[in-house]
Amino acid sequence: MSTKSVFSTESVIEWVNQYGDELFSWALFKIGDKQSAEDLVQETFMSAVQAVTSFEGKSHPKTWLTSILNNKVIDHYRKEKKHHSQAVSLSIDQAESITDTMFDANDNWTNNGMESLWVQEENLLDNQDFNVVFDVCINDLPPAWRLSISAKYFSQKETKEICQELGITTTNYWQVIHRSKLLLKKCLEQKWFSGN
Amino acid sequence: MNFLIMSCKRATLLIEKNQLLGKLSVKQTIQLRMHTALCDACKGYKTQSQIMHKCLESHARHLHIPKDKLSEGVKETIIKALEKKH
Repeated sequence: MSTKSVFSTESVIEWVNQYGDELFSWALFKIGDKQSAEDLVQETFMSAVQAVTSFEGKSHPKTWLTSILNNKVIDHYRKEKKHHSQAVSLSIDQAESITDTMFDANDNWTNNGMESLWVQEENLLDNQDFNVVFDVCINDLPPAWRLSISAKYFSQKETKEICQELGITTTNYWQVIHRSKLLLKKCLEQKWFSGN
Repeated sequence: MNFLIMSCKRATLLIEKNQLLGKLSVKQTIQLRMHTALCDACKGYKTQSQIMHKCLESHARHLHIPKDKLSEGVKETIIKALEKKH
């Protein structure tokens, strides 16, 4: 059962020209720093060339390269966090334990009675201040979760492709989306609804 | 009757799936409808989830992924590094 890969170093070199711009754009969007984005793209291709003989082409090369890049982006976030003493975003463990406390032992809501506050304000979406708070809450999400959310909303990709890029199963993906939304809810209730 | 009963955690997961996929299985649709008919917190969550969904969509509209180009110099550097590995 040895499947010989049809891809080689030459393929990877070709992909630099074919997909380099797009990978760079995504990295820049996620990181915001040109130099780091360039470095991550270079690292992505270096990892790709080492793994190319085991790449069987089950997904599109661009999808495969994006999955490598996504791992580099998450690593980059982790390293960045180590350098800043104050953690900007939550770790996955922290985030999971927060969302767990939102439900009781039977997986039903531990009710917080804030439902009515959400519907009292009309045109919430047009409210500049609300959008600023929403931004803060998105940035509080664990980096890997933020990546899952942005893969969905910022690129019009199919769930299957996003999962391949993130290297997770669809079941896991829905759990991440679910937990991210719960965490956003919690954050908005703390930072917006309880103060207003 | 038992198959109609599900937890709020499960119900809210289905709300999220339904929102992004636009569809659920017939069984899931019935389960969710039954649940939200009886559970105010989950009925409320449906609205909240929609608000957050719209927020995320509008953020996405305002924040396009830039169409940047990797400079030719960097591409060359990468290709040279790849060739060296070869």
